[in-house]
Amino acid sequence: MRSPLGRRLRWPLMLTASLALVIAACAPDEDVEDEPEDDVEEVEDVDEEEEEEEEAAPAEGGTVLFGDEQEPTVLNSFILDGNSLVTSKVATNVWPGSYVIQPDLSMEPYLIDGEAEITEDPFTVTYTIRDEAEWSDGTPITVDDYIFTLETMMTDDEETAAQITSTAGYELITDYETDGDKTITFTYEEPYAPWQLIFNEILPAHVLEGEDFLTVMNDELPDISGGPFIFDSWDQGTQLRLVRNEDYWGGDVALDEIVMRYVPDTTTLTQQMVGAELDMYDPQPQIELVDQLDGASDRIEYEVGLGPVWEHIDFNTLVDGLDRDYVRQAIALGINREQIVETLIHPVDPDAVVLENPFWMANTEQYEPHYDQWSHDPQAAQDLLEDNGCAPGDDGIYVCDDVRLSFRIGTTGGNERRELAQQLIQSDLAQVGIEIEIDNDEGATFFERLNTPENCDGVCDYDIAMFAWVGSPNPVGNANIYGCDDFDDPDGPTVRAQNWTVFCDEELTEIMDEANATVDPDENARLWNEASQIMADNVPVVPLFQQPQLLAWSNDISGPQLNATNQTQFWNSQDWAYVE
Amino acid sequence: MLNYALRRFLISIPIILIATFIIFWMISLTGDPLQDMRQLPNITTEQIQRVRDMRGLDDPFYVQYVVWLQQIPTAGFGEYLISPRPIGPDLQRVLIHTLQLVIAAEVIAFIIAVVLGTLSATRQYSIFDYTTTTLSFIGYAMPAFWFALILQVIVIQIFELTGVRILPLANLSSANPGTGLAFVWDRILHLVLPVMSLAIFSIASYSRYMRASMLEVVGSDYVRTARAKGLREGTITRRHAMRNALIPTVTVAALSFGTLLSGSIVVETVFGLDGMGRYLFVMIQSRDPYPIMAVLVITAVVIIMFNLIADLVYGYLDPRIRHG
Repeated sequence: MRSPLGRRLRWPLMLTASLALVIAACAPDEDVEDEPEDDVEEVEDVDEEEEEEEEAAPAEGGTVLFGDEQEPTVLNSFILDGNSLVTSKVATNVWPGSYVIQPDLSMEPYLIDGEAEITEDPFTVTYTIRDEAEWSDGTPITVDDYIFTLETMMTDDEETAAQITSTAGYELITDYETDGDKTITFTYEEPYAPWQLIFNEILPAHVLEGEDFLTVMNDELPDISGGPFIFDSWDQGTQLRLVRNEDYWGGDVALDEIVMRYVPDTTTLTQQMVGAELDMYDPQPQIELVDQLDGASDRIEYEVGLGPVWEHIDFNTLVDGLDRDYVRQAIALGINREQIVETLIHPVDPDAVVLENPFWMANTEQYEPHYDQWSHDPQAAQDLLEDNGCAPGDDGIYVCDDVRLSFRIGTTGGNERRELAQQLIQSDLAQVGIEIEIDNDEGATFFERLNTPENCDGVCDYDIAMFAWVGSPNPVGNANIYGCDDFDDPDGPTVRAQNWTVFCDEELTEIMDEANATVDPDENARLWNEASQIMADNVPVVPLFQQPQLLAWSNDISGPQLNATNQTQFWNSQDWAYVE
Repeated sequence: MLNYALRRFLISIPIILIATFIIFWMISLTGDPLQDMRQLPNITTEQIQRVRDMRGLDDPFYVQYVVWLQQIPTAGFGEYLISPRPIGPDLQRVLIHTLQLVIAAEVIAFIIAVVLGTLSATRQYSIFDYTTTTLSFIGYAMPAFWFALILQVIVIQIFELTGVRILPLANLSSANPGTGLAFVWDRILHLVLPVMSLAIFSIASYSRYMRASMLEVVGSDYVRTARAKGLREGTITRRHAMRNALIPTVTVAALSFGTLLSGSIVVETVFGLDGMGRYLFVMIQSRDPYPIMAVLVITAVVIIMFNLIADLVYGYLDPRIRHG
């Protein structure tokens, strides 16, 4: 949606910029006199670097005001109501984890001293907690805290268990053994590939032991932290304040405090950034928004990059026509994905690329582009259809065995980027001879058509669906999305919980399950790439692009770096500082 | 008068019940309230079913309605859908904030509108009258969200040109609002732009009513008599004309209070104010039917109350109605 504000802000900014140009043009240019141009640039660059180095000296103190569209419902990130990115933004600052997810989705040890040690048979993980790691009250962070975290996740209390977000990984732990206060070995029932993703937030046993876990962290957090900041206060509906952990074991923290300010409107947040009422925010990037930030480039820096949220189209393989792989392949060939990225993403992120793998994101080292075999080629799409006995009807739309290739494509109505992509797809496939009808619904209603069993009744009410999944450092969840069970059942295999394409391939399922039980990173990556190749050959899904993410900050702050993962932008908040 | 007020109040109870039933039914038609939960990574079918069982979501909607209704006297407005947290404290907080905004907007709008309407009527067909008439129609036509954005842009432009931030752009208070008078002053500053955005339509509306009403009154026999008796024009306007002309304006203002409440949804969202409007907006996004119901019931009660107040004030201002 185009913001009226964007247009309104533009003229005064253009006027200001024009005036600045006129003034600059009138000013004497003494530096360039008698100097070769290239040399001047070098000299200026060196000067600028020196100036930046001088300017970049971090200062002690200061408050960063971070604007957010969403507000946490509760502050307990372990329960259903707290299962949100905005709650993680608080938790990341307070609860230390074994590993930290880096911006490129790799994992770096944080609370533990070097990589954890693993054995494969039986599968064990040994964590050695850093000697210097301690809670803000001076109590060392020990194996007791790991054990308490495990026991909290796997609580016997039914009411609490019903509220715990996910026990994935924890439920496989059968035993643990400690070696002093700082080393603990967990034994798993079976190998668990994404083991680095659990114990990502460690709770303080000596503070929370005996408390009602469902209520103790609803409206406030205990006065303790193992991270760079401590929870101070939460004025619900307005702001949440974190103050510096003076005894942070990870080093000096420069900022006095971080205040998260909650405004549910991106336009207003952008106004506040431009008006210097906020110091940092991470909105969904839109073209107008980037224009506004560019207009205030003397005060605001921003970084745009590929995030873990990836857009794709899913085929309902129970629908006549879409149950044939050559039709899905022809559609993949007919869609100009490069043009979609160029039109919709490049204005915001010029470095964005077409996503060619449904499991590894394009900015990870494991990524292999298997879907590039379906690069845009409408003629090849028509040839493929005709090779399989299809022929164009009187209206130019192909018919294959009496099935006219006319499908609905649905998405979450009101999402401008998806709606524009739909129109491009519709136009691309019309050139091939495949008719596409746009059939959108409001967000939640649209998803009901995909995944609510009572609405599906065997065949979900969609032909082609465009939506997004959130990628993670390990594609573990995809076995649930593209896997099936009971292949020997005479009635056919059973699709897994989120397999909305109803595409079942025994080899694919076996490989994904094997990958989930393979802890060797290289072998794990190889298996998921093998699975990706099967997906690319059969095309139950066509990946499109990763959504760009944006982090903007006032340029008198050093240290912020975009991290669009669940670790949130606060992944390195201990490094944030005002520059002198 | 007391009997009349009591009768009106009792009549409003079945109206509220019918309204809540219809609203509950309509919300139940919007689909599965646990839809967002289904999209959470790693969520299990068992977890979803547990919440469904806990909240009786598999029961027919009228059974759910009765359960919800029973919670109002015993447990405030009950609990949120997914987690067992009470709705009442949140509702109380946002209601207070909204009342601060709406009452300030209503009072300011009323005062300005009475002054503008009176001056327009007493200076009919003057430049002032034409100007206020034109501005009133602009105020009528201007969407609140658009006016809010314009106000924000103006404040930003002043900041960019002068480096001075004259007013806060959003939120109810500063990051460090202070205490006592400093807190109050900070709150007032934060409410200036939202109140202006919310009041603009009311000023336009009430001033037109006031002008029309004043024109009718100043042409009446008793005003002419007062003028013949040699009273000063100011005294005639203040003591004789305005009081009678206020009657329809007060009624319109009281009846429009509900409109201001609904207008506050947009204004609170744009300015990020922690009020009922924003709360409703956020809860609609999260598809939680219980807080939505709570907000709508409060709104319905407030509207009915102000209708009652309008009747009572009408009676106070016009003794003929009171005595009748």
